[in-house]
Amino acid sequence: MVDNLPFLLNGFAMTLGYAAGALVFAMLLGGLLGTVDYAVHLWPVRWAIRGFVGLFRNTPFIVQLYIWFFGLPYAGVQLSAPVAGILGLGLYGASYVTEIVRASLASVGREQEEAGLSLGLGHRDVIARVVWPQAFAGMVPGLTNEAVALIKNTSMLGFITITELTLRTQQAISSTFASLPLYLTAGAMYLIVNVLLTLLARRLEKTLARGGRGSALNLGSRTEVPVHV
Amino acid sequence: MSDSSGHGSAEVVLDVRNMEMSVGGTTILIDVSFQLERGRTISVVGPSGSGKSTLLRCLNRLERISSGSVLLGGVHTDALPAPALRSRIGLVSQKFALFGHLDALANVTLGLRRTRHLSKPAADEQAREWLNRVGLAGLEKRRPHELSGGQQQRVAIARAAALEPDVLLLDEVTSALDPELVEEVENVVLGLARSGTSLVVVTHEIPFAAKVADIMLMMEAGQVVETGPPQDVLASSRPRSQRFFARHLRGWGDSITSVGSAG
Ligand SMILES: Nc1ncnc2c1ncn2[C@@H]1O[C@H](COP(=O)(O)OP(=O)(O)OP(=O)(O)O)[C@@H](O)[C@H]1O
Ligand SMILES: [Mg+2]
Repeated sequence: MVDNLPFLLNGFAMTLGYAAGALVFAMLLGGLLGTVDYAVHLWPVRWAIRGFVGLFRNTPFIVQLYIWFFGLPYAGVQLSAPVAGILGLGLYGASYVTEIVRASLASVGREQEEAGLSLGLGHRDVIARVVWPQAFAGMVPGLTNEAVALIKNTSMLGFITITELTLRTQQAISSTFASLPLYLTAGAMYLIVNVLLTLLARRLEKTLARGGRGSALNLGSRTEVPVHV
Repeated sequence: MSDSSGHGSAEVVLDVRNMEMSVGGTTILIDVSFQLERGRTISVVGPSGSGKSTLLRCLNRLERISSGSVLLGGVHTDALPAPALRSRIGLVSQKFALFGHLDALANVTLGLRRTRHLSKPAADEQAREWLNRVGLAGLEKRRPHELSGGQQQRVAIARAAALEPDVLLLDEVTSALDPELVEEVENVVLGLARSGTSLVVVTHEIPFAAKVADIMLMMEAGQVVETGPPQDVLASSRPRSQRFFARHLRGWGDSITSVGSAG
């Protein structure tokens, strides 16, 4: 068991690396697509994004992963396992992130957008300086769920020969037969990362809810100053 | 209600000519024309759904007009890009929509920095001055949820007025407020009118509409049906106008006639 620990930790590091890479990819792509979906009112753009989201959210991740790695060679495109892994996880995650971002931006409301526009701000300025900052706090819980799901989904990368934690565990079991202790150890590793991640997200959420810049709450005293325009 | 005598020349700042607006076959504004002289105030009254908000939204180009033209300082605005137009014809709406993530000061500076391209110190200074003018000195660091409705609306007015637009449009800026907060906001609007800001004020408060404006404009079903000095419009012999004013002035007794003629 203890002899196998470095072996598992090696897989764990691999898991973290793939998760981090795919997470960045998913957040960037999903953030971009969600913003475009919210801000651009052109039906071809909207249809393309809705199509992407619909396709990737409604098919199993493992099928998508197999297509990237085992399916594409059939069409003459051979992706390496790391590329297929990051791409597969990233696109799958991005489809969820897109929807979270779009919905959060929309929840800020038309009035806010119009208030920005009527000051003479450009549309991009309004999205970047009025809508996004107010939408972000609302995205955190959904994005955290997505990050947790993505980290768990890395366990399927073993199916395309990536030696992540779950595959390493199975390899260790096949030589030691200590299935229960090894699976429990692997489970604990996933658990630790995801719990840490969730706690971190909670703190971020609280900070954002407080306003982020420590504004002094002073609801009690309402200083009335005479009006002299 | 800027003094009528003091102005030498009467430069027309806003000239609306035969403006029409329709959405999906429904005509919402029909042949709307009026002129606003620089430094003067027009109040717009009329029943709910008569097109008052739509009129202001068209002037601010949040809605597109279907025909007619809007001239700003004698120049057609068609060629002006929307952001440029909007920074010259400001709009404050009933739902003040302060930016929730920004404090009062930053709400005012955002427009100054992004559309007037002021440096941060210059924008801060100008914003402070405007918050002071609307009676909010000392509350610069408050976030919108830490302000009363009346204070929020005053920040919204300062935010739009700070850009020193040629014309400022105010759409029922008091109707979302508790009754006891209405006056503080009306005073700010009166102050703006007196200090020579060109205003178009939509309001349901007829006494205020009469008090603040040089010209009162009444709308009905998308059309301008009355226009003139407030006391004349209030004294209109048109039965529908009379009924409208009677409904809206219930409880005000005769005080309104004195308000009207004082202007
Ligand atoms: N985008 C739109 N699409 C369709 N109809 C609209 C649109 N905007 C406004 N209307 C209609 O146009 C008419 C005028 O609306 P508007 O909001 O301008 O009236 P209003 O005079 O401001 O009313 P209120 O006093 O209640 O604010 C209404 O009948 C409304 O239903
Ligand atoms: Mg209205």
